[in-house]
Amino acid sequence: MASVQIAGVRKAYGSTQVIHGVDIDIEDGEFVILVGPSGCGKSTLLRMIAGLENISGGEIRIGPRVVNDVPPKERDIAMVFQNYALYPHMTVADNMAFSMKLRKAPKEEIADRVGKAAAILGLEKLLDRYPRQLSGGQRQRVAMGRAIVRDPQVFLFDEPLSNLDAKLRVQMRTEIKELHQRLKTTTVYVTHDQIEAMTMADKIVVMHDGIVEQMGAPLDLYDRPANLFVAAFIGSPSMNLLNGTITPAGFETAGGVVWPIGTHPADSNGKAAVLGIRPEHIQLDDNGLKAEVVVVEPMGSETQVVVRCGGQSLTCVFRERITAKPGELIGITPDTNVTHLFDAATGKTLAA
Amino acid sequence: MASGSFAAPPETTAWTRLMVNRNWLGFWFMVPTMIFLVFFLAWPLILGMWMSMTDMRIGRGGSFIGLENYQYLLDDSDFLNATAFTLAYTAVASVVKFAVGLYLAILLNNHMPFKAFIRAIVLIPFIVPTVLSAVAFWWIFDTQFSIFTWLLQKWGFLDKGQYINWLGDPFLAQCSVIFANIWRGIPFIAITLLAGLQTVSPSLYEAATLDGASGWQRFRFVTYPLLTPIIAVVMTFSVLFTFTDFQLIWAMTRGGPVNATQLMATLSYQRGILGGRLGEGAAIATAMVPFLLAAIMVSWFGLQRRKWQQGESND
Repeated sequence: MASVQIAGVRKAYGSTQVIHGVDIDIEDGEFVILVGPSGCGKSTLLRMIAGLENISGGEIRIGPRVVNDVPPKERDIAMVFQNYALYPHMTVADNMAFSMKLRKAPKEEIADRVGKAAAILGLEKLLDRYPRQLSGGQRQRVAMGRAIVRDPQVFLFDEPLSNLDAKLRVQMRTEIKELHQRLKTTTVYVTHDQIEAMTMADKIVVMHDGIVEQMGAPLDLYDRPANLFVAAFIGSPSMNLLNGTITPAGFETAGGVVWPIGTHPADSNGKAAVLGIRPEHIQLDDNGLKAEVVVVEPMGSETQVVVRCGGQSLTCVFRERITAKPGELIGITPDTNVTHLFDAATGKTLAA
Repeated sequence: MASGSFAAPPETTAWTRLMVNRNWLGFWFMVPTMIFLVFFLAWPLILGMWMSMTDMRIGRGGSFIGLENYQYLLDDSDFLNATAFTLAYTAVASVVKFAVGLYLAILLNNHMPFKAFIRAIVLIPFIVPTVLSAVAFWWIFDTQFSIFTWLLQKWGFLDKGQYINWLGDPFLAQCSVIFANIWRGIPFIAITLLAGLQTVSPSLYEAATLDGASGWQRFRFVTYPLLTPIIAVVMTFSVLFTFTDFQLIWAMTRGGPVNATQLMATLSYQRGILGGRLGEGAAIATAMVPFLLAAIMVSWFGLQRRKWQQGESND
């Protein structure tokens, strides 16, 4: 196991720069998730750690060693690909043993390690099968088995769950997390799914357009987003963002609707800003703001309601069951302890 | 009983069953193809085999003479030499074509500037009509004007005024026609194998790289096994085309000098059409069939779907 340090790393294809200087410290045994929309550079960064892409600038260290010019096979990493990349002409056992056979490891050691990895992943009965004969989830497990057999310093996952159906994805999410808790191998995991990031990571790195927008523990990002991008990206359903102006009375949006807000910088009155309210932080309140119901989506445990208020649409999640019909008015009020204010010009959080 | 409200089902006659039954329908749809195959493939083949057992000549119907033609051919050194050369021609040309074709395919599968253009150039020998390229080779291997001779002189391997009788010397002529066949056959193999290579997911190579495989090991353990099915198809066709080659030889050497470059196909033509002995020509052509069948058998076993290619079944 080892730590991974990414310092000032850049990537350029010709004159187009796609990663603009990224610094990430990954501690030994940490589970770090790189998350962001497609094209943000997260996969490229992962492939640079793996050695499949050249590093145009900056430094990547695995353990104490700078690996910029170290060929992939000497970096002591194992990678799980989005399409699993299982060798179709080899059985499950041969797939897992391939790296050790190349190293000319003794037969007993190979059998021993493959057996152990198969036991961890519940693949014992499938060892003689070919990838074609496996289901998506089983292939996913074989791909992880191939990584485990290597016993590497770092596991790299490149969107490993994207090709699975929703139910299996939830199940594999749990399995991967459990596996990490058991093996405690440093893991870098790339996904575009913020739910995967929230549920699995020790640390989330939110990337956007080749830079790191924010880095931190999942709940830190949820509670204290540093800017509008992170605020909108983390959380589901995503945060409501209202445009308006800060006034002494509160936050005024179009149509003269004034939202109550908590503490805000004293000098910010009259400033154009964005108010961020998470759907789950809006409560029903007969004395609150009047909002017109647009759509009601009962989920059983909670009710998701889209309302229109002050010329803007908001999504609310209520624990209560809602009987209101579309077009009716309900009273809502945000929990002012957990609302967020962002500078409309820079998108940065306004310090309270 | 509500039976009165239903019309009695119509009597299914044998005729309607023939028109409606799925199996019979399938048979009807196959009939046109079967007729075509029987008339244009099976019938000529049978006719040829029958003819090989007659003493038929051009303009004169023959009478049945059993295996006499074959008996005669077994003692005919020209026929035996042609058979031996056909085998050598096929073996040498196929092996070299495969090696160079595979090498080219792997080369062309890399990213490089003007990729499409280079791939198009590789196809040229395949596009040029065989007879045209044979005429070009005729000049390339001309005794006086050969570009090879000129190059050898230029590089000092040959004295000025010293010439090589490329198509006049039996052994050199054999090498020359094999060279021409290789040149012509490479594009087919290279482009087909390239198509096969492109079906191999690049992430397999990345996975193999991370697993610690060197360039050669990636070829040996990933590329080659995944390519075997397509190699089997390509090489079957290549062997069949080479074994039955006619145009190239006929345009370049007409089987000469002294029958050194005579293939079974050219000998059959020479004896049967030019010499007028249809029966004997047919016997030579029929003698090619066992060799071709053997080649097809080999590829048939090679082509059998490997276990890893099979679908979702569990056995």
